[in-house]
Amino acid sequence: MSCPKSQNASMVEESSQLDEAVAYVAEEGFFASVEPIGQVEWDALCTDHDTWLESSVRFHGPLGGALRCRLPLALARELVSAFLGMETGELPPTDPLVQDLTGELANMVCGRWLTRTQGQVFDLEHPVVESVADGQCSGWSRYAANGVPLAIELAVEAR
Amino acid sequence: MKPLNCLIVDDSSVMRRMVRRTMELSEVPLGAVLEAGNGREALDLLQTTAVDVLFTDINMPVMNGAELLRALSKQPDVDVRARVVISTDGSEARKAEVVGLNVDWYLEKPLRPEVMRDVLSKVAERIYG
Repeated sequence: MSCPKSQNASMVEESSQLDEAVAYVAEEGFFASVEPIGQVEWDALCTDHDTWLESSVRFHGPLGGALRCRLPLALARELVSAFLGMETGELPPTDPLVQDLTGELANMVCGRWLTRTQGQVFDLEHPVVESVADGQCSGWSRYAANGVPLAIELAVEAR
Repeated sequence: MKPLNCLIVDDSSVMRRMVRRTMELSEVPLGAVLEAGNGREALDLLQTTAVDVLFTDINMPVMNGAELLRALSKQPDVDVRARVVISTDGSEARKAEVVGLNVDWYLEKPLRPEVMRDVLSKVAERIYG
Protein backbone atom coordinates (compact mmCIF):
# COMPACT_ATOMS: atom_id res chain seq x y z
CA MET A 1 0.00 0.00 0.00
CA SER A 2 1.33 3.47 -0.86
CA CYS A 3 1.76 5.99 1.90
CA PRO A 4 0.81 9.66 1.30
CA LYS A 5 4.47 10.67 1.13
CA SER A 6 5.25 8.28 -1.74
CA GLN A 7 2.05 9.39 -3.52
CA ASN A 8 3.25 12.99 -3.28
CA ALA A 9 6.68 12.05 -4.62
CA SER A 10 5.02 10.19 -7.50
CA MET A 11 2.80 13.20 -8.32
CA VAL A 12 5.81 15.54 -8.30
CA GLU A 13 7.73 13.18 -10.61
CA GLU A 14 4.73 12.85 -12.95
CA SER A 15 4.36 16.62 -13.10
CA SER A 16 8.06 17.05 -13.78
CA GLN A 17 7.95 14.49 -16.61
CA LEU A 18 5.00 16.28 -18.17
CA ASP A 19 6.87 19.60 -17.89
CA GLU A 20 9.83 18.01 -19.69
CA ALA A 21 7.61 16.68 -22.49
CA VAL A 22 5.92 20.06 -23.01
CA ALA A 23 9.21 21.97 -23.03
CA TYR A 24 10.88 19.47 -25.37
CA VAL A 25 8.05 19.52 -27.93
CA ALA A 26 7.73 23.32 -27.79
CA GLU A 27 11.44 23.90 -28.27
CA GLU A 28 12.22 21.17 -30.82
CA GLY A 29 9.04 21.43 -32.86
CA PHE A 30 8.04 25.05 -32.61
CA PHE A 31 11.15 26.94 -31.45
CA ALA A 32 9.07 28.17 -28.50
CA SER A 33 10.19 28.79 -24.94
CA VAL A 34 7.95 27.28 -22.26
CA GLU A 35 7.97 27.66 -18.48
CA PRO A 36 5.57 26.44 -15.77
CA ILE A 37 3.58 29.25 -14.13
CA GLY A 38 1.24 29.65 -11.15
CA GLN A 39 -2.39 30.67 -10.92
CA VAL A 40 -1.79 34.42 -10.51
CA GLU A 41 0.40 34.67 -13.59
CA TRP A 42 -2.00 32.42 -15.51
CA ASP A 43 -4.96 34.66 -14.72
CA ALA A 44 -3.00 37.73 -15.80
CA LEU A 45 -1.95 36.17 -19.12
CA CYS A 46 -5.49 34.93 -19.87
CA THR A 47 -7.00 38.42 -19.83
CA ASP A 48 -5.49 39.15 -23.26
CA HIS A 49 -7.28 36.27 -25.00
CA ASP A 50 -10.94 35.63 -25.77
CA THR A 51 -10.73 32.84 -28.36
CA TRP A 52 -9.47 29.44 -27.22
CA LEU A 53 -8.90 25.98 -28.68
CA GLU A 54 -8.73 22.63 -26.93
CA SER A 55 -7.28 19.44 -28.38
CA SER A 56 -7.43 16.01 -26.82
CA VAL A 57 -5.78 12.74 -27.72
CA ARG A 58 -6.70 9.39 -26.20
CA PHE A 59 -4.12 6.64 -25.76
CA HIS A 60 -4.44 2.89 -25.25
CA GLY A 61 -1.89 0.28 -24.26
CA PRO A 62 -0.43 -0.88 -20.96
CA LEU A 63 -2.08 2.33 -19.64
CA GLY A 64 -5.14 4.12 -20.95
CA GLY A 65 -5.98 7.80 -20.71
CA ALA A 66 -6.07 11.13 -22.45
CA LEU A 67 -3.99 14.27 -22.79
CA ARG A 68 -5.65 17.63 -23.38
CA CYS A 69 -4.12 20.98 -24.42
CA ARG A 70 -5.88 24.31 -24.09
CA LEU A 71 -4.43 27.43 -25.68
CA PRO A 72 -5.52 30.75 -27.16
CA LEU A 73 -6.07 30.86 -30.92
CA ALA A 74 -3.28 33.45 -31.09
CA LEU A 75 -0.76 30.93 -29.76
CA ALA A 76 -1.97 28.22 -32.14
CA ARG A 77 -1.41 30.62 -35.06
CA GLU A 78 2.03 31.54 -33.76
CA LEU A 79 3.02 27.87 -33.40
CA VAL A 80 1.76 26.86 -36.83
CA SER A 81 3.77 29.70 -38.38
CA ALA A 82 6.93 28.54 -36.60
CA PHE A 83 6.22 24.93 -37.54
CA LEU A 84 5.84 25.71 -41.24
CA GLY A 85 8.37 28.55 -41.46
CA MET A 86 5.75 31.17 -42.30
CA GLU A 87 5.23 34.73 -41.16
CA THR A 88 3.04 35.01 -38.02
CA GLY A 89 -0.45 35.95 -39.14
CA GLU A 90 0.10 34.67 -42.69
CA LEU A 91 -2.58 32.01 -42.16
CA PRO A 92 -6.14 33.21 -41.47
CA PRO A 93 -7.53 32.23 -38.01
CA THR A 94 -10.03 29.87 -39.64
CA ASP A 95 -7.44 27.95 -41.68
CA PRO A 96 -7.81 24.20 -41.00
CA LEU A 97 -4.03 23.98 -40.47
CA VAL A 98 -4.42 26.00 -37.24
CA GLN A 99 -6.83 23.42 -35.77
CA ASP A 100 -4.73 20.57 -37.11
CA LEU A 101 -1.61 21.99 -35.47
CA THR A 102 -3.44 22.19 -32.14
CA GLY A 103 -4.20 18.48 -32.40
CA GLU A 104 -0.64 17.66 -33.44
CA LEU A 105 0.68 19.53 -30.39
CA ALA A 106 -1.34 17.24 -28.07
CA ASN A 107 -0.23 14.23 -30.10
CA MET A 108 3.47 15.09 -29.81
CA VAL A 109 3.36 15.93 -26.08
CA CYS A 110 1.45 12.72 -25.37
CA GLY A 111 3.86 10.64 -27.48
CA ARG A 112 6.90 12.17 -25.82
CA TRP A 113 5.47 11.61 -22.32
CA LEU A 114 4.56 7.98 -23.06
CA THR A 115 7.94 7.27 -24.65
CA ARG A 116 9.88 8.73 -21.72
CA THR A 117 7.78 7.33 -18.89
CA GLN A 118 6.44 4.01 -20.19
CA GLY A 119 8.69 2.89 -23.06
CA GLN A 120 6.09 0.44 -24.37
CA VAL A 121 3.87 0.33 -27.44
CA PHE A 122 0.79 2.59 -27.26
CA ASP A 123 -1.87 3.42 -29.79
CA LEU A 124 -2.88 7.07 -30.00
CA GLU A 125 -6.24 8.03 -31.45
CA HIS A 126 -6.62 10.85 -33.96
CA PRO A 127 -6.77 14.12 -31.94
CA VAL A 128 -10.09 15.90 -31.46
CA VAL A 129 -10.02 19.72 -31.59
CA GLU A 130 -12.77 22.12 -30.56
CA SER A 131 -13.29 25.76 -29.66
CA VAL A 132 -13.80 26.46 -25.96
CA ALA A 133 -15.14 29.49 -24.15
CA ASP A 134 -12.13 30.46 -22.03
CA GLY A 135 -8.93 29.41 -20.32
CA GLN A 136 -10.55 28.18 -17.10
CA CYS A 137 -9.03 24.77 -16.43
CA SER A 138 -8.78 23.96 -12.77
CA GLY A 139 -6.18 21.35 -11.84
CA TRP A 140 -4.34 21.47 -15.19
CA SER A 141 -0.61 22.12 -15.54
CA ARG A 142 -0.11 25.72 -16.63
CA TYR A 143 2.66 27.20 -18.73
CA ALA A 144 3.68 30.39 -20.46
CA ALA A 145 4.70 29.61 -24.06
CA ASN A 146 6.46 32.63 -25.55
CA GLY A 147 4.56 34.59 -22.89
CA VAL A 148 1.16 33.19 -23.93
CA PRO A 149 -0.90 30.81 -21.73
CA LEU A 150 -0.89 27.07 -22.46
CA ALA A 151 -2.56 24.47 -20.20
CA ILE A 152 -2.14 20.69 -20.31
CA GLU A 153 -4.11 17.99 -18.53
CA LEU A 154 -2.95 14.39 -18.38
CA ALA A 155 -5.54 11.90 -17.15
CA VAL A 156 -4.48 8.29 -16.67
CA GLU A 157 -7.28 5.77 -16.21
CA ALA A 158 -7.15 3.27 -13.37
CA ARG A 159 -6.14 -0.22 -14.51
CA MET B 1 20.79 12.67 -60.28
CA LYS B 2 17.29 11.46 -61.05
CA PRO B 3 14.59 13.26 -59.01
CA LEU B 4 13.14 11.27 -56.11
CA ASN B 5 9.45 10.46 -56.12
CA CYS B 6 8.16 10.54 -52.54
CA LEU B 7 5.01 9.61 -50.63
CA ILE B 8 4.18 11.22 -47.27
CA VAL B 9 1.65 9.30 -45.16
CA ASP B 10 0.27 11.07 -42.08
CA ASP B 11 -3.23 11.78 -40.79
CA SER B 12 -2.15 15.31 -39.87
CA SER B 13 -2.26 17.74 -42.80
CA VAL B 14 0.04 20.19 -40.98
CA MET B 15 2.62 17.42 -40.49
CA ARG B 16 2.45 16.44 -44.17
CA ARG B 17 2.95 20.07 -45.11
CA MET B 18 5.93 20.42 -42.75
CA VAL B 19 7.61 17.30 -44.19
CA ARG B 20 6.96 18.46 -47.76
CA ARG B 21 8.34 21.92 -47.04
CA THR B 22 11.48 20.51 -45.43
CA MET B 23 12.00 18.26 -48.44
CA GLU B 24 11.61 21.20 -50.82
CA LEU B 25 14.24 23.16 -48.88
CA SER B 26 16.77 20.34 -49.18
CA GLU B 27 19.19 20.23 -52.10
CA VAL B 28 17.94 16.81 -53.17
CA PRO B 29 16.12 16.92 -56.53
CA LEU B 30 12.48 15.96 -56.07
CA GLY B 31 10.03 14.51 -58.57
CA ALA B 32 6.42 13.93 -57.56
CA VAL B 33 5.63 14.42 -53.86
CA LEU B 34 2.40 12.57 -53.08
CA GLU B 35 0.35 12.56 -49.88
CA ALA B 36 -1.97 10.10 -48.14
CA GLY B 37 -3.95 10.49 -44.92
CA ASN B 38 -3.64 6.87 -43.75
CA GLY B 39 -2.13 3.51 -44.65
CA ARG B 40 -5.10 2.38 -46.74
CA GLU B 41 -4.92 5.46 -48.98
CA ALA B 42 -1.17 4.95 -49.32
CA LEU B 43 -1.55 1.30 -50.23
CA ASP B 44 -4.14 2.15 -52.90
CA LEU B 45 -1.85 4.82 -54.34
CA LEU B 46 1.12 2.45 -54.44
CA GLN B 47 -0.80 -0.04 -56.58
CA THR B 48 -0.70 2.41 -59.47
CA THR B 49 2.19 4.78 -58.72
CA ALA B 50 5.87 4.01 -58.18
CA VAL B 51 7.66 5.94 -55.44
CA ASP B 52 11.29 5.91 -54.37
CA VAL B 53 10.80 6.95 -50.74
CA LEU B 54 7.93 6.35 -48.34
CA PHE B 55 7.64 8.52 -45.21
CA THR B 56 5.01 7.16 -42.85
CA ASP B 57 3.55 7.99 -39.47
CA ILE B 58 2.58 5.09 -37.17
CA ASN B 59 -0.61 6.13 -35.34
CA MET B 60 -3.26 6.75 -37.99
CA PRO B 61 -6.95 5.88 -38.36
CA VAL B 62 -8.22 3.23 -40.83
CA MET B 63 -4.80 1.60 -41.37
CA ASN B 64 -1.81 2.52 -39.24
CA GLY B 65 1.81 2.73 -40.33
CA ALA B 66 2.84 -0.67 -38.96
CA GLU B 67 -0.08 -2.29 -40.83
CA LEU B 68 0.93 -0.45 -44.01
CA LEU B 69 4.54 -1.65 -43.73
CA ARG B 70 3.34 -5.19 -42.99
CA ALA B 71 1.06 -5.12 -46.06
CA LEU B 72 3.92 -3.83 -48.22
CA SER B 73 6.23 -6.58 -47.01
CA LYS B 74 3.74 -9.07 -48.49
CA GLN B 75 3.66 -7.27 -51.85
CA PRO B 76 7.13 -7.62 -53.41
CA ASP B 77 5.82 -6.22 -56.71
CA VAL B 78 5.30 -2.82 -55.04
CA ASP B 79 8.74 -1.29 -55.37
CA VAL B 80 9.52 1.25 -52.63
CA ARG B 81 13.26 1.75 -52.38
CA ALA B 82 13.47 3.41 -48.95
CA ARG B 83 11.03 3.42 -46.01
CA VAL B 84 11.20 6.06 -43.29
CA VAL B 85 9.00 6.08 -40.17
CA ILE B 86 8.22 9.46 -38.57
CA SER B 87 6.37 8.96 -35.27
CA THR B 88 5.72 10.46 -31.85
CA ASP B 89 6.32 6.94 -30.48
CA GLY B 90 10.04 6.72 -29.80
CA SER B 91 9.89 3.58 -27.66
CA GLU B 92 12.34 0.76 -28.30
CA ALA B 93 9.35 -1.58 -28.23
CA ARG B 94 7.77 0.21 -31.21
CA LYS B 95 11.07 0.36 -33.09
CA ALA B 96 11.49 -3.39 -32.54
CA GLU B 97 7.99 -3.95 -33.91
CA VAL B 98 8.80 -2.34 -37.28
CA VAL B 99 12.47 -3.27 -37.62
CA GLY B 100 11.64 -6.46 -39.50
CA LEU B 101 9.48 -4.57 -42.00
CA ASN B 102 12.29 -3.16 -44.15
CA VAL B 103 12.36 0.20 -42.34
CA ASP B 104 15.52 2.13 -43.20
CA TRP B 105 15.18 5.08 -40.80
CA TYR B 106 13.04 5.70 -37.71
CA LEU B 107 12.62 9.39 -36.86
CA GLU B 108 10.85 10.84 -33.84
CA LYS B 109 8.45 13.76 -33.81
CA PRO B 110 8.96 16.61 -33.26
CA LEU B 111 11.26 16.52 -36.22
CA ARG B 112 13.95 19.10 -36.81
CA PRO B 113 14.20 20.17 -40.48
CA GLU B 114 17.94 19.44 -40.57
CA VAL B 115 17.31 15.81 -39.54
CA MET B 116 14.86 15.43 -42.40
CA ARG B 117 17.27 17.00 -44.90
CA ASP B 118 20.04 14.70 -43.69
CA VAL B 119 17.92 11.57 -44.13
CA LEU B 120 16.79 12.65 -47.59
CA SER B 121 20.41 13.15 -48.67
CA LYS B 122 21.32 9.68 -47.37
CA VAL B 123 18.35 8.15 -49.20
CA ALA B 124 19.41 9.80 -52.47
CA GLU B 125 23.01 8.71 -51.92
CA ARG B 126 21.95 5.12 -51.29
CA ILE B 127 19.66 4.98 -54.31
CA TYR B 128 21.87 6.78 -56.81
CA GLY B 129 25.32 6.39 -55.26
